[in-house]
Amino acid sequence: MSSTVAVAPRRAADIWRRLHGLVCVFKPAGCTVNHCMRVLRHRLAADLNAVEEARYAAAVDGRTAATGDWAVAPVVDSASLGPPLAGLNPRLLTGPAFQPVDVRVARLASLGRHMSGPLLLGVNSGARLAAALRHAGPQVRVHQVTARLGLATDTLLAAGRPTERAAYGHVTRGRLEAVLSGLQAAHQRLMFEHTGLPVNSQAAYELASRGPARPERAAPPVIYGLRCQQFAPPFVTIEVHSCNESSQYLLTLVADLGRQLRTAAVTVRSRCLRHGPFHLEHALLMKHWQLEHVQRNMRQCLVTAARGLTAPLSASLQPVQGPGGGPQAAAGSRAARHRE
Amino acid sequence: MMNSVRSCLLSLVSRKQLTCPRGVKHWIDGKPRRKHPVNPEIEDRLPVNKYISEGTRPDNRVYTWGYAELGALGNRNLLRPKNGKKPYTYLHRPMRLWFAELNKVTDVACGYGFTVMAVNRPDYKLFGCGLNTSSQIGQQEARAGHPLERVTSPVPITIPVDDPSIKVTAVACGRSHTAFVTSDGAAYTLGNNAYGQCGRQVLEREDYSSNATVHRVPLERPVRSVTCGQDHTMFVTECGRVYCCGWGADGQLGSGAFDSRWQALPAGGDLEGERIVQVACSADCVLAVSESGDVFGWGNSEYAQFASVTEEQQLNVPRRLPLGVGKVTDVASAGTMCAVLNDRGEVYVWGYGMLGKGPELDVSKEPSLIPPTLLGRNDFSPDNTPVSVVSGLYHLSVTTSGGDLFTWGHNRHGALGLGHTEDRLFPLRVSIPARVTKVACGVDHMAALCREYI
Repeated sequence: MSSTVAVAPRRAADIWRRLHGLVCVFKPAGCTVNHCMRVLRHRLAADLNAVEEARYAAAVDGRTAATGDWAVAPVVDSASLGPPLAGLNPRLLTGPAFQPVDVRVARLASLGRHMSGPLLLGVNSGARLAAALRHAGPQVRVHQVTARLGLATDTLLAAGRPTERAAYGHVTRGRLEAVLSGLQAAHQRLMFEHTGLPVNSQAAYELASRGPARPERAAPPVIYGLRCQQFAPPFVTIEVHSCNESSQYLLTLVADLGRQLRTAAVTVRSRCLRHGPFHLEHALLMKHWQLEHVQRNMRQCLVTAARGLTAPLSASLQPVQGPGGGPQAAAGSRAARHRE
Repeated sequence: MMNSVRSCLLSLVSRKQLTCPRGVKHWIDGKPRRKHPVNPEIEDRLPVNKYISEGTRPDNRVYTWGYAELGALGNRNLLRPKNGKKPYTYLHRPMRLWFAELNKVTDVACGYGFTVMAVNRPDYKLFGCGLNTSSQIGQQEARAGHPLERVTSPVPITIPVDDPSIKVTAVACGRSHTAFVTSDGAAYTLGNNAYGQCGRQVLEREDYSSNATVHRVPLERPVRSVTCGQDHTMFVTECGRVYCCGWGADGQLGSGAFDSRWQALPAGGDLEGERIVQVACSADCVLAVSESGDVFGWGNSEYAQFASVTEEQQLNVPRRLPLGVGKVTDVASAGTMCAVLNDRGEVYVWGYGMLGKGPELDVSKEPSLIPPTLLGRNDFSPDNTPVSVVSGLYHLSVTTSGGDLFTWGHNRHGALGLGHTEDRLFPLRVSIPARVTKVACGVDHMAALCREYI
């Protein structure tokens, strides 16, 4: 390893100064959001410390670096370093420069523990985006929920303790789709009564006549679309397009669906495919939660957010496409003209 | 500075955390985290509950809502509740009628404070509940000489049809009279006959409060359907003629005069030679649609319902209305508003009041289209189109192909069924967990005939 470098090594302080923004990570199932935040904090701190280590390693004589014997006073190239005391690796004096607690990571969205999907986190100053995102309005999310018919458990998840078994041979795809369309239509009134405008005003009428409306932030969950993607009893997969929903709401939805079908149902898997303008393609896998990947993801998210989130979102909604093809828009409809 | 001091004290812990955050390894293995492990045999030991079998077919249901005090909703527990609760004045959301679970209800009609249901049963074919001051739901006496003015549960109406194979196919209710059509093409009426609305001679000082008269109206057979206005009745025969009788001061008999008449005679005017399939009237303004999709109107026009053909406030001769909305399949006429539905699934409204296009449109002489997105069609459900329009006295309702029911207008006693008593100026969907097939609207209550999903 040469001690003279053609390019000055990166300084962790420079990276740290620029490490602000929104990052979209993929939260795996079985992991809490807090846990993901903790892991991200630790990984970023570790990577930043590694950058500093590399910088000091580059400044030290190659022989000492090879032996790793830090007790011996190293031969330093003081030209590349600062004051005399800086010749010693500060990690030995004061510990690593970057602690996980220094990296501020805030959640900008929520996902249940059993759910997987894109999770928006704000890093350092990105935490302030939470208020801006709330102001922009609730995002439409697309979930792919796999349910198992014929079983009811205490936690409404398939891994829970079974409490009931029911016959499901009578459930056909047509019956399921009829119940789904009824459920979807039932939310029409909710949608229009929670726009934040007085329901009997002209503004509310004009908003409603444009199509599905976005609810205000503090409104109850609203479902825009329910489609049966796969029907293979006892397993059915449903795509849910909704706003303001929570993980518990989706579990209850599946349980209610089972009741409506005269059987029981539990959730096997719940994947979030999309959160507003953020797809699964924008989400960073846990193995890639490293400094360079996070930095690149922040830049991508900035572009996506700038396109989709800076201005207050339109009050009327167009269907959000899942990866398997969402609700087919009629030719020449609003959805075809204004995508996001 | 504080950071470095803190990091000194925590250096041991932080070094460990830098290598492996606690808990990562644990869940990476894929084992579900559960405090108390679950015995996998529990599921096998549970019995399998069978709620319905593969051969079960969806059933009919009846939902009612609105003003409850007169008993029109058919639910006795609303007026005489158990557990010492207060009786309901009104019900602002749909409630399933137990009567329809035990009987096969094929048709339902709502009058002014009462409901009549056609039931497929060999013994009794017609049931009614609600107000009975004019025997509009038959003679109902708990003991002789003491007629019931208010009936809180559906009770059978005795009709002069003995053949068990003959069913009641259509029912209509007016202010205080009822008319129905049987499957053999005969038309019958009962209730108040003060203006001849029952199609029989008006008898002076006739007591309607406990009157068992059910009159078969002599008409050319077969009669296909019947519609009741406020105090008049219109029978539509198979050949498309409309026979009217009853109160005629607004010209609603279509006879060219403003006299009331007990004889049921065909309405003339532009109806000559036309084959009428549907007639709609809830008060005094009558709309009729022919087989070819033309709309005809006669009766009250005080709210510019017939402004397209006349400036007068009454029209006593049926006129073809040049609405310009294409081929019409269904019509509805409220007290001050009119609505039509064409074959493209578009609903047009005109008249005066809460037309359904927001607060700014409260009067319109020409038909105005209601945005299809308000009636259930949007990018998420593009195939949902309206299939019928029904009106009460103060509100309108639309049923769609997907089984949705949308209502709007004046919300008297929660008649809109939206969960409150506020008026609504554009269509909103009523939450009914079944597919709505037919709706009947009264003044302040509604009934919906529905089909289960499963």
